[in-house]
Amino acid sequence: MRYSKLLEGKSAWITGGSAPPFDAYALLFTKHGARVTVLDCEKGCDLTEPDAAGAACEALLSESGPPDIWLHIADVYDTAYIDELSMETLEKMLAVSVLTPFRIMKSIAVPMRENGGGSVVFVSGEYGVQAMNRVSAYGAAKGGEIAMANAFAVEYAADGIRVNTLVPGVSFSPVGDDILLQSGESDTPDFWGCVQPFRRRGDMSELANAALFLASDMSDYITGEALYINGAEHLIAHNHGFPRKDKVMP
Amino acid sequence: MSGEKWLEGKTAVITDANQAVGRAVARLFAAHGAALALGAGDLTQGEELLAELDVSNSFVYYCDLSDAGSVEGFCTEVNRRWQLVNILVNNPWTEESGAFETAEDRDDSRILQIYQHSLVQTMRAFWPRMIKAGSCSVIQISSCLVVKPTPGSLARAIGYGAHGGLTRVPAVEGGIHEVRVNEIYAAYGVNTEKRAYAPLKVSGVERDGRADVAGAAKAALFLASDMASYISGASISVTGGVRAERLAAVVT
Repeated sequence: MRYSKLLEGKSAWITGGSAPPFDAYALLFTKHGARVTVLDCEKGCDLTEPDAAGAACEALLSESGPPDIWLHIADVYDTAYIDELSMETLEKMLAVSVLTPFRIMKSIAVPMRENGGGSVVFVSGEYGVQAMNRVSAYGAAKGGEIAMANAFAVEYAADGIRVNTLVPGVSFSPVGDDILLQSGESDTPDFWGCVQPFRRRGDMSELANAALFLASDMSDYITGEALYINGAEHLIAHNHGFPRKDKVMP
Repeated sequence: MSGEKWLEGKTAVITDANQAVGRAVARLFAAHGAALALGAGDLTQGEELLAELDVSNSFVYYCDLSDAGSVEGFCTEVNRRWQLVNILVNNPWTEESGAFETAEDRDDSRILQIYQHSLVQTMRAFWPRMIKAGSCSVIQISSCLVVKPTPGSLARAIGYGAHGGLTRVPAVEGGIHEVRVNEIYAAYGVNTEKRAYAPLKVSGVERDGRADVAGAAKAALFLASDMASYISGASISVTGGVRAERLAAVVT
């Protein structure tokens, strides 16, 4: 195993993440020798439309065969109290995090099996496991993604397809930015230290490193795992939710 | 991170290094440039392991995890030789176990020393310098017995269960210093030669036990390295899917 080229000779599909900061995954995978194909809106593949995304993947399958690695990082992020949230928003979140990945898996699982297996990695999120106010829809999408990944893992283990999930905490992403915006706080160790043992947000390159581990043969005996990457944030008893001024929160 | 050697310039302590996972971790860490302090309950086996490795500033020392005095002696020797332990791999293991109704108090005490107190001892010995230096890594080698017990595994399950607390509390306490603490759930019987090489059926797949050992070592390397710089308080099951599967795995 060449540790500087963990993905040498592998083909990788990445759904989402052609633009910064999420392009860190594609850049790292490329650096480690993978032939990376990014599929997202900017590349003409609408991940909010399961059938259209599935068709795009099938076209890619015909063109270049199944991937050795599929990394799904796309999601739709929005926060609102349940009574404020539109069903359209919820449907869009579920489409990108559950329906479209399900549709893609239906298309690529058999070709991947016939190709000798591979690794599938979903980038989910902490709200899929732990709740805070205003994230019911996003949490449902992210939690559904984890449950779906676990089921994929068990179902395809015999075919040599490993399926794992990353569970990031706050990072330099729109979710982390939104926490600062909603709370009116600034991006300082003092603020993050209230909710986060490491007192900082995760860098996207750190998330990409964990995705690389799960995508590569470094983790060839790991499947059905949801790996927290959050500086131990999931262990802290807190709720960094934002109390609504016109509501008395319990 | 792109280099071929992920642990260059690091010091790593591995307990029960003469057991299967300990040996695999030692070999992989050595290949990645770490200096090693190997605690071995069987000194001859430990010395044979060290002799095969291309390492410098490394040593093997007698360390019987069932004997608190022996563990203390090992820790003292490590701290005498090294200014800092960058990586601590606690890999306690014993063949002893038994069904709930046959366990005796004296067995429990021995098990608690091996699986719990020895971890507390090593962490207390190295922790102050770790948090002073920052960016260190502790890895507890636990077992999937914690989440999917098998009959007759009481003693080991008691021991491994404590690894969770000894992972998560220090993960929170060490967070501000970015001293990371994580645990690995290794597969059933991974530390025994006999059962490590027996087939294990998980999620419909018959696995070779050696994959378990190599997989645990690779996960330990990942967690020890800067690749996992934002991961702490995590539990990784290196079992081919045991944790995700609803049905209990069948050990044949």
